[in-house]
Amino acid sequence: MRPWGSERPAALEFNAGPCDFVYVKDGAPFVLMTLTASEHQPSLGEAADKLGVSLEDLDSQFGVVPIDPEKGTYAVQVRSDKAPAPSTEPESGEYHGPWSNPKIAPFGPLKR
Amino acid sequence: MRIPVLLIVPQHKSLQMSATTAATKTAAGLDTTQTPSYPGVTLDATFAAVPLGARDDASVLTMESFQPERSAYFAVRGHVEANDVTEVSQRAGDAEIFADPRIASFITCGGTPPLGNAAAVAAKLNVPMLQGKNLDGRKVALAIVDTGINLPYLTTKLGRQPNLDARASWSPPGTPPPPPGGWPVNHGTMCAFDTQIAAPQAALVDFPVLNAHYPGSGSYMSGTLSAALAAYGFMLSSRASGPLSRYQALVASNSWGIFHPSWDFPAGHPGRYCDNPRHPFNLQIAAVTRAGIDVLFAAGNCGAPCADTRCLGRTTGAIMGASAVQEVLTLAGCDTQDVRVGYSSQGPSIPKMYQQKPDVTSYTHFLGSEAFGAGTPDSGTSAACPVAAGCVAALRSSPKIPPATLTTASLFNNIRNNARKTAGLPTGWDRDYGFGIIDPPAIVAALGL
Repeated sequence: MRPWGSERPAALEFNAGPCDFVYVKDGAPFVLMTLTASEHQPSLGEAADKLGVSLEDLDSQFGVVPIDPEKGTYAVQVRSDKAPAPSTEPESGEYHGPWSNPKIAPFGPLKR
Repeated sequence: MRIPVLLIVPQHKSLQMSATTAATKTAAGLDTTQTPSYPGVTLDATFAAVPLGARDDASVLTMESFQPERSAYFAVRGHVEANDVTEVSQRAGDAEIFADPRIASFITCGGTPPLGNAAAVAAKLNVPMLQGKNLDGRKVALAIVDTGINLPYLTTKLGRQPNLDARASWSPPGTPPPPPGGWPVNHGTMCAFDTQIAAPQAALVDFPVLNAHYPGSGSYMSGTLSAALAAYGFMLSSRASGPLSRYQALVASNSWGIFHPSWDFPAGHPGRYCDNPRHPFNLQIAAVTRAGIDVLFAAGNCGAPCADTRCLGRTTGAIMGASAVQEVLTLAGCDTQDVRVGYSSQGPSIPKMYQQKPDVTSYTHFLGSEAFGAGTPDSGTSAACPVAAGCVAALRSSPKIPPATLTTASLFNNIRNNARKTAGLPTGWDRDYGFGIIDPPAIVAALGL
């Protein structure tokens, strides 16, 4: 993804869903999800269990990323076709998402 | 309606006396009781007559012809009463009447040449005073969260090699990328240069979230928010117990964001980023600052009257996402004459995010790194943010204010409370400058450093 302008590299596909740009790995679009784990940072396997998906459905390169360790919040990338349905307990559920993963760009020299 | 005018009038003794006095006394005026009458015009007694020489005869326009005793014509100032400028006459007796319009500096926009240089910025920030107190970034890590740093270019440009901690830097996963400090010269190099103005001894750490794509890795997260998420996750862990934990303080400079909500999920979607305090990146950034990392974000370049074209004309509620998180310090931009640059995003923030953004203003649009070519300015709020990050790193060099003693929130409060307001600006927060221009000497005095 270029830092300038709106051109998109070939590997980022135009998504018919709400967001133009999706995270793609090996041809499969992934979506950003978060999960809660109060005792320790979960392993990828533990994260997969919480989301009810298999280990292969998570992006191992992205891994489990801490959002707020004190509150036990972590992020993973999940295959969009395997991501669980949104939690029925939006405030206290074990996982949330999908979350937007938009393109970002530098606030540097202006495009005029 | 009172309409100011300039009059060109023939010489008169009273005008010669006024101009002669003004040559040596700046407070000289005009004795309007002694001047000729110009019907319909009330002369300004505070404005001394200005000798204009012979006016129409160029052959006699010598320096001597402008001497008050020799000048054939003079300019004086006054006003006429009229309902509209179209009613103003061209003459008033012996006088020719001309407009006296209001003038203002040209606002700095995207194509404007640089105004001032890095040395001018350093003077504005009183860097010599900071360095005299050893407030130069020593013992502080300064993360450039951007396109990557080019260390050889910085070394050439600065005339010295800056400190870069490769071990504490972040490398995106996948096919081996360039090493820390080995990225192409681009936006990140500009930002790194700009931090060095106030913090030449800070240890740069490279966080190339914006330019981390490499064919064949199968993982294209670069240029999307998840790259920043991963990078800050690394930063949190490293600060807790990794290489970044060795530093007295850690400052993170972020000169990026989204330009328009259309880059995001649609309005109302619970997973949206730009106006959603619950988005995981916004939550993560707040957690990062609570962990004692000083996080700065550029406000963006969607300000009126000369916003970036990627803003699609949207100049209100333009401060979005992490730039609008309460816990970060959000930077607007001004030039080295303290005038807001015309593209600096203005507050308040997008609805549902913290509204009083920007926080403060810092310097941009100066001749600095020339990372984008010789003679090109370091510009955008992109440059303002690392200039301010350098100031924060310089302050954190003091052993008196480690994050455990002075939290990020408290430090940023001090920065806001001691920001400098230029003449004519309202007290308190305003949408263009925030609380004012960052003022390191005032902060040093307030904190007793």
